[in-house]
Amino acid sequence: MGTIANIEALAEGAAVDRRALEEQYERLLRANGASIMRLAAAYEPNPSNRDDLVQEIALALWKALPHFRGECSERTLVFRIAHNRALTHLWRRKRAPGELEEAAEIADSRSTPESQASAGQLRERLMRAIRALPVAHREVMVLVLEGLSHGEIGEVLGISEGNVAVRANRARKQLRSLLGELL
Amino acid sequence: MSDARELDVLQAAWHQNGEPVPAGLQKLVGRQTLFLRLGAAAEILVSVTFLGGSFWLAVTQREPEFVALAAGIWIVTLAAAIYSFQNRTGTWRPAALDTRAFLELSLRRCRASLRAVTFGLYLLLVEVVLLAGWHAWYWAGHPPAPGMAVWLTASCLPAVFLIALLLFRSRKRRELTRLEALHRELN
Repeated sequence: MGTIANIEALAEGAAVDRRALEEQYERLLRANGASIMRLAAAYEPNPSNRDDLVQEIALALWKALPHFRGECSERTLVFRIAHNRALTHLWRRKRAPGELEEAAEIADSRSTPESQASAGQLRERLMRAIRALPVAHREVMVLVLEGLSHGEIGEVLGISEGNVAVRANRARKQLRSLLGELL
Repeated sequence: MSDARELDVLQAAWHQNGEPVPAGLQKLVGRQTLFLRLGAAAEILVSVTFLGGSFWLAVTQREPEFVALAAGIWIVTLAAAIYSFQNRTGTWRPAALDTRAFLELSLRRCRASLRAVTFGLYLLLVEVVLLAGWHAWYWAGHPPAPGMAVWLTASCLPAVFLIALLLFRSRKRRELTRLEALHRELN
């Protein structure tokens, strides 16, 4: 009897743990969904491939949650996972035709009349300019734009705060030259 | 424009991109988790079927040919399992590592996959030689041997495995090249 009661208690405990995990997962997705979508867009211009990337991030987050022991903040955890999946996506996929031309297009269009910036134009150009940055600068700039501190960015990427500052500075210079009059 | 103002403008523009995550994403993740579990269960099922089936054959048939076949299957399967376990040492870590650590881990995993493919190629060669030898031995004592059409059909299976392994190796090599380039770029 004692053994059966123990097993029942364990099963009940496992069900409670699972419910708590599901609630935590839902909360994290709700709170960070938009950031995940933006981060995915910064690494994948093609909408259908982007959906795949978002699914990969969501799955990785679900798999990582049971092992999360609060070593970092939940936000850092989400960005670490999202970022790691985005990089994996980057090296596993073939580059889509026309993708390399994106940077050239931004540069060509920056002094045309249409570059008289409306908010929508800036948003679109900014996303394209971010995609045109080298990965080392892109990863830092995306997190800066998300509003993470240099300390948090260092925690996500595994680099020092000084290194983050240097890269952020270079990334902003490149963004300025890509966006030109829009800023 | 001052640096702080410029950053405000950029952040405001960036946050306008805030689409919500697609509806039904959690259900999809639940389904993918189920598929992953089914995949792992299928691997175990195939191993158990081969090991159990060969053992059952050796016990029920009690002929030296079947005992030798069962021993061969067990040795090859155990060799593959031991190699796989050793090869994966250091590649089992949670996904929530910082990016630099994750890249190092990914490099190790990619190299481990390539080593596993090389091992798989040798293992396939050993299996083909062992199975060909076993068939020659078995059919010498149990005539009539099957015709050429049966032998040709049977030889398609290792050929398919060989092609799959070579394709996988070529994909992994491409991935490793891109991964090393990314690693250099980020360090």
